Amino acid sequence: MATVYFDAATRRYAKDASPAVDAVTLDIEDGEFLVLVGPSGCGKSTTLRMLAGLEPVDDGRILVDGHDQQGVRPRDRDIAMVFQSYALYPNMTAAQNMAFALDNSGVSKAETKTRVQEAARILEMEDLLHRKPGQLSGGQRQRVAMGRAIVRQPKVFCMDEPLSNLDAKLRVSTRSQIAGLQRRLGVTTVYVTHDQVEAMTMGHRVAVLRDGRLQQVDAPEVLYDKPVNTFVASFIGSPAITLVEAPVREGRAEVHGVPVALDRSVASAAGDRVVVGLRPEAWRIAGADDPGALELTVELVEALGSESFVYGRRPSTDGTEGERVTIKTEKRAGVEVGDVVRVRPLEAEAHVFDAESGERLGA
Amino acid sequence: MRARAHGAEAASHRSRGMTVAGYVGMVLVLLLVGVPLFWIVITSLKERGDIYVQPAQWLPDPATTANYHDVTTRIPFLDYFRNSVIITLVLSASKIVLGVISAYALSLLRFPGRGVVFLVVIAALMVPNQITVISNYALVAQLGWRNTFQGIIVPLAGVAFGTFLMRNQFLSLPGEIIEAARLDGAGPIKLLWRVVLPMSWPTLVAFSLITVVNEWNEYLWPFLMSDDQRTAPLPVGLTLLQNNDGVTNWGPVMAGTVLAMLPVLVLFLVLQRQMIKGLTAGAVKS
Amino acid sequence: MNNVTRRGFLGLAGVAGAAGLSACAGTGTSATSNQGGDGNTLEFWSNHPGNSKPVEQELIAAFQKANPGITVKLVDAGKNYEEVAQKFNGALVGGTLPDLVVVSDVTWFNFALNKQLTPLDDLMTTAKVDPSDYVDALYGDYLFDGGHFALPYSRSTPLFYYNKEIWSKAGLEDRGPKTWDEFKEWSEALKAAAGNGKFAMELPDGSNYLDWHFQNMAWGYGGGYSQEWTPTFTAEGTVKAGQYLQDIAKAGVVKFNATPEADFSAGLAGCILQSTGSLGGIAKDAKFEVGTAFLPGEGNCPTGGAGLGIPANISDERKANALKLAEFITNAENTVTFTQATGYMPVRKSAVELPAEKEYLAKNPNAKTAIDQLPQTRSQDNARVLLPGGGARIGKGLDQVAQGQDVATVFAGLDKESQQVFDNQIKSKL
Repeated sequence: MATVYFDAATRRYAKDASPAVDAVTLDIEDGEFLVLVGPSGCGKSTTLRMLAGLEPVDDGRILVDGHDQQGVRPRDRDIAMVFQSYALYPNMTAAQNMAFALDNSGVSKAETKTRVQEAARILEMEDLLHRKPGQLSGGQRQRVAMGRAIVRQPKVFCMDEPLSNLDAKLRVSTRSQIAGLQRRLGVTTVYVTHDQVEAMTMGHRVAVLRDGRLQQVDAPEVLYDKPVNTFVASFIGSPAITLVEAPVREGRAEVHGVPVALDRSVASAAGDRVVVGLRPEAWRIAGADDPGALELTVELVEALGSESFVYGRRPSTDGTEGERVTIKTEKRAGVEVGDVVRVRPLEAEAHVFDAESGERLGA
Repeated sequence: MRARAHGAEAASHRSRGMTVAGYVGMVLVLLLVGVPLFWIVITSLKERGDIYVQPAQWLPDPATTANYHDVTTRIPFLDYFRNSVIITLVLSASKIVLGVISAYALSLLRFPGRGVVFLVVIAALMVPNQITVISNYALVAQLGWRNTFQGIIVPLAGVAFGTFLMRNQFLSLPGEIIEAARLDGAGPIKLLWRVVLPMSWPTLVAFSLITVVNEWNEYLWPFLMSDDQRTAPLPVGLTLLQNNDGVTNWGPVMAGTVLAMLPVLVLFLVLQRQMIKGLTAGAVKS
Repeated sequence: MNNVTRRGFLGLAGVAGAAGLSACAGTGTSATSNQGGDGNTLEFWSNHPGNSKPVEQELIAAFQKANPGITVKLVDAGKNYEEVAQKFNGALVGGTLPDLVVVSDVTWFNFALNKQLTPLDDLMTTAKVDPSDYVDALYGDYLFDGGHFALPYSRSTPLFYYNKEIWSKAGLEDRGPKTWDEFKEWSEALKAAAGNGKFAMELPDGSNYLDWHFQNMAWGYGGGYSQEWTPTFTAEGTVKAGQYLQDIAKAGVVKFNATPEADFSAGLAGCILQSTGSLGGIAKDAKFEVGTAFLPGEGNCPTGGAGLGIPANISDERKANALKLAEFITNAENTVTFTQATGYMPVRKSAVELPAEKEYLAKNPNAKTAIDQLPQTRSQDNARVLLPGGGARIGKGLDQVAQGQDVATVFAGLDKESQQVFDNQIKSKL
């Protein structure tokens, strides 16, 4: 168990290229489950590999338990990694795969056996121990890869998209298993994913990366409720937030002509224009008599059973198409494609961002 | 899976004519490879007067093992055989070990000048054997190693080909497995022995087989180095059966060829299963 | 394009090879000079011509008995003359020279030219060996620059072998043709007698010493490959002989083949020209009665085979002992032993007078043909045996002639090439 501290850690693949990981500073507590998330190419895997010692740190440093890891070989870092491809040793059985690291570090045979058995029990794969990877299904291989990390009882787990090769159903169940396992073992974990649902459901905190730069590190609900910029706002949440550029008049932003009152502190920081973000649940259906409501032509309805998402567009008045707006409705709102619905944004739920920088305005 | 389904579908559509054509092709290839071999074997069992006759005799009549007796008595066949075994074993072993170790260093270990070393190795591969023979001869003769096993073996033990082949094999292995092993605390030797080599068996076996066959048939250098049956291997020894200026009695030559061929044939049959078996299955999901 | 680059590459390789050779030659010489040896252990490098290893061992044993204190080591130096030369070349660069080495009619000269073989004349005078007992044509073959560089050892000439069954079927006398023109007269009858799919005559192709046998035709028509060092391919007689070869090839009388002796033994050819060294083998393989005759013509039979040379860079003591060995295994008695075991020709004039040989010849009339033909022999032309690559060059030209290319053009090309090789590689060293 250990704390991990990224201190302006930077990685450049080529001298002149822009850094793949750009001065990331990140303080991970002992026992914390931190998820690194971002679109592909954002540097999240590189960040993880730097921690594991598979990539060098060109600038800054990485501390584990307060010790600078510069020059420490991967094998000496006591960090276990679960790879996206699982990277199992094809010539060894599941048990041998798990025992390999213990053999190498001189753990006694008896101890090794106990630990492998224990890990197999936790992962419910006792009867698979004698099989080789070629005889295992994808999910089983994934569990062997997990087991290989668990038996080592390392300071830190590094997981690089360990679920991306599983089918959707298995992914959901394994997601909670891994999260639960981590809570039980209490091992500091850094988990990389591009899937924001995994990020939101698994980690204590989520770090959002974009182009090698850290955007925001926060608990999932904070990330959802208070995204620091338009990128985080649109990356987190599904369906995505609706972002509308709106002119500001007299302390109000006009979202498709519908005025949204701005908080005083926000209004004072805002210029002529802002970007207003409204999540699907930040709308309500307005009555026919509501004069300030926004009229939308429905283009698509996703009925999920308990609720529905309605995608609509403001009818064109000047020949240009307005932005698409996503709205969450009750399960039996009875909206169909081609209908015109009238909606009104909930002012309290609106996120307001600077139109130029995309930074959040106000608290 | 898809390929198999596709194959089945194709097979059901394939006409009888195609099947027949396939078999005819197979038979043709078999004949192409098999007839010369068959001819060698039956010639080795013929009496001298029956070898050059018209029409050709397809079965030895009468069959005789005299040629085999001739081979083992006219020349010290067993000495040559022993020499061949010694030279082939030592040479193959050193070539395989050196090839694997150097390829491992050039592919998976990081050290300064790695690219340059690889280039030098490739350059060595380009130098024709005939050119190095002269300088090697001078060197070995000065060491007083003529007509010794070390004189034959040491200059041949260099392995540009093996290095090249195995390096490419190692580079083709999934990088994440190597990284996993590093994180699992495997040192260089363990990484090679427990992880890298087991995944490279088919290539290694093929490389070993090629090496063994090559060394077994090596002629020029052993011929230059050896003076008599104390060190000369079979290919050199068997030439004594040929008449250098006149008519060769092919019976014993063929018998010698059959005897020299057998060990390699057996080795090939034993190892070919290993070559076909791919071992990377299930290692990574791609 | 392809051709050019390949040639360029070969050229490069050649340069590299030469560089390697010369670079190492330096190291080699130092090794040669200090490898004196005690002179009492001799190394005899032989390819055992004509499967002669047992005979050679027998002769060596007799030599050791006659010369106590000298041990001879018989070394397997290759499967043919070219390989012995190759191995000897290696030794010249790398050291550990043999004391006695087998050199063939085409390999000895280059060693002599580069002073890698010792002229034997002085050694023979010192050892009181009389060279006049050697058959003149055979001994004379090794003369260069006033010295003899080898003693004749496994010497042969071509013989005319014929299938007596086919001969009688064709209604021919039981003898060989007197001239090539007479053979042409016989050829139609022979073709008919041989039958379908068989040939009146087979000859080796250009890669298998056709150039050796063709000398007989060229000389027979008054031509030749060269006079001393001047190529004479364009001489009237040579071109006429070339035209003759082309004519009989076109007429389907003769077939070219790598191993005519195999076809002949199988009864597929009416006659062949082949070395006397093949006599024993053909007699064993053939299932019909084999006749032998002189080559067509008079005084136009080329010699061939190999002799024994002594390296230049060894101590005088070793040279003296090596000569002793060479003289011993080629003396009258031993040349008889050797030639009876192999089919080569006795190299001593006095050999045919020995009772053992007389008895043998009486029993083997075919072997007698070879010996009776000896007075008809003639030393080969320089353009074939002394010019580097001569045999292969002429062989290639003859292949082209046999395939129907214009004789005069091909021979003119040979003339020019031979002259160039002489100018570039030999002239300055003479």
